[in-house]
Amino acid sequence: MKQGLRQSMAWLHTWSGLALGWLLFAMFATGTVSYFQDEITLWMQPEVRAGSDPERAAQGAIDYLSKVAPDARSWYIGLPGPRGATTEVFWQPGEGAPPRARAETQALLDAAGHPLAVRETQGGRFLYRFHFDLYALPVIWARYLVGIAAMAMLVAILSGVITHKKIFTDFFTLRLGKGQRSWLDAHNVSAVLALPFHAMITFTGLVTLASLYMPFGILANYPQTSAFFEAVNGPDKTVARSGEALPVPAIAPLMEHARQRWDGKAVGVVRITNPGDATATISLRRAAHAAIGTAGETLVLAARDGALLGASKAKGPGLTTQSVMVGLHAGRFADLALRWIYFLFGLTGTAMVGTGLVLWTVKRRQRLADPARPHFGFRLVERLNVAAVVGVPAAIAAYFLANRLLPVDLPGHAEAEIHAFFLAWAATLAWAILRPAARIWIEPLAATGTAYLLLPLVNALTSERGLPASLAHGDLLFAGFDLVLLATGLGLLLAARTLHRRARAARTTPSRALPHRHARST
Amino acid sequence: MIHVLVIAVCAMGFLALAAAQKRHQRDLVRRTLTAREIRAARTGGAALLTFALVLDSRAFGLALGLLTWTGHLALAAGAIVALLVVRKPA
Repeated sequence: MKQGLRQSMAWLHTWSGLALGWLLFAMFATGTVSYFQDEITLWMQPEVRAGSDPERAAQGAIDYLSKVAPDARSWYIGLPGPRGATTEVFWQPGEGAPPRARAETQALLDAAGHPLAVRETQGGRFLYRFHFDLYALPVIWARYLVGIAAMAMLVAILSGVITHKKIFTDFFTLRLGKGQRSWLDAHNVSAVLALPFHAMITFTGLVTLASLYMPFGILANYPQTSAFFEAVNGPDKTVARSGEALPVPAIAPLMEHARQRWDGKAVGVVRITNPGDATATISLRRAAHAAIGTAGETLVLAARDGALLGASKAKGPGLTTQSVMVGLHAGRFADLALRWIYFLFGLTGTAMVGTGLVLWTVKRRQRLADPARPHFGFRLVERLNVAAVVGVPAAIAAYFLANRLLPVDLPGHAEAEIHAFFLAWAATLAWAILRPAARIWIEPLAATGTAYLLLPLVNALTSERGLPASLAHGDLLFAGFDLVLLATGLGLLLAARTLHRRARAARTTPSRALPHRHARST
Repeated sequence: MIHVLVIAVCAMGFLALAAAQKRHQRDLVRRTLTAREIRAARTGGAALLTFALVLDSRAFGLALGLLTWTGHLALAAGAIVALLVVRKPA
């Protein structure tokens, strides 16, 4: 049978979207909240209060590391940006030191360099890593899976644009309460209005892992992948300690020097090799928030006299393009307003995937031979849709609730939070499988909405930074966070109520039953 | 503040573009527009969207301005969609 281009594209759109739709929904949702990764981490560590400034924090970290790890091979100091309040340090134990667990060679510090007494949590980082590394899978497998999903997304976007019959005529069209028509409108509007964002985010997402998916260019030009990274980042040579002691110089002037060299862009990472020795080097990397591109400028200075040992090489146009694309994807450069815009479009992307998934069932429901007993494929999609679309928000709510409700000093607090995340997700899946089809959306939506409404209350009862206090103190981060939780809860409950009423109306007056839902009249 | 300003300019642009479409004229102006008015609405709408790009690139530089502009466009278009839903007679 010969088909027109539009029909074959519609087929491609439907099936590329469905096959990986559930994974894409989870990726879109966790990626979207990751635009507020730092804020989530701060909310999940309500003990951390004071702000920080990079120069004081760098000196504080150096003082701390000089005491804790004076003979380390190297120190790594991740400085707080304008959205953070804590300094992260790691060190590599020195030559001959007994091997130690990773947890023993890292610390979270305040601006003065004192270790912070905070509850153990992965905070926003877990959601961010889940977005592309998933969880518990070998990282390479996860990244291939995520790459296949992103490619399916790109295919779905392009075939969707081709198959859309009236992209300009329907540009502003959203007709509510009309069954399948409304779902299609919602899918189209959410997809088309933010189309530049969706296309950009999907393509740049693939670019972030392009050298994993397509290593051929590197393999053709370098004997090993490591040789390529050495050529790009400079050789990572380690010099033996000389034994001549030399205290680490004051860091602030060096950071100021770097800042001037980079037209006012701040330092984000300080790395010191052979600290305390005459052979020590100090490398400074530009902060991620200071420019769109992620491949930051780097300066390497000799600790002895501050002489310049190396600076990031002028990179080719290919690498520069990649760096800007990765930066556009991650949005680390975005100020608060632009960050909200990123977040909102992440939500429209999530809505686009969600409405697309629902549309698959809505379209097919009327064509079922026996609507009371749909075939296995239909039931599978219908229930997996609930598990994805409601399951991910439910999992995030459980993650936040566990953060507040688990005992603060519980060993393995961070792992337990993550378990709560997956338990809630699995519970939603079980709910969707076990309950009758008419209830599978309403009940989990209502439960998840209630969980989001409870979160600000739980926060107020378990921390000193509940909504009344945060509003009174002008604590915008906590107030904003709680308000967004409330809005999410209300939205979910509203959705549950709408579906509930519709189901009741369909039951009492079968003739007015909406065609896409519980069509008993046929 | 600049964000609010540019979003408002974009929204006016999209309002004009929506009014140029037959389907939305009843909801927006309660009558059908003449061919001349439609042409004027289209030109005006496009001009406003372009003007918004000028504002954004002056405020943020061309690179960040283009990026912010696509964001402002989509937000404003979303607002017009919401407005049309509200104005639709039930």
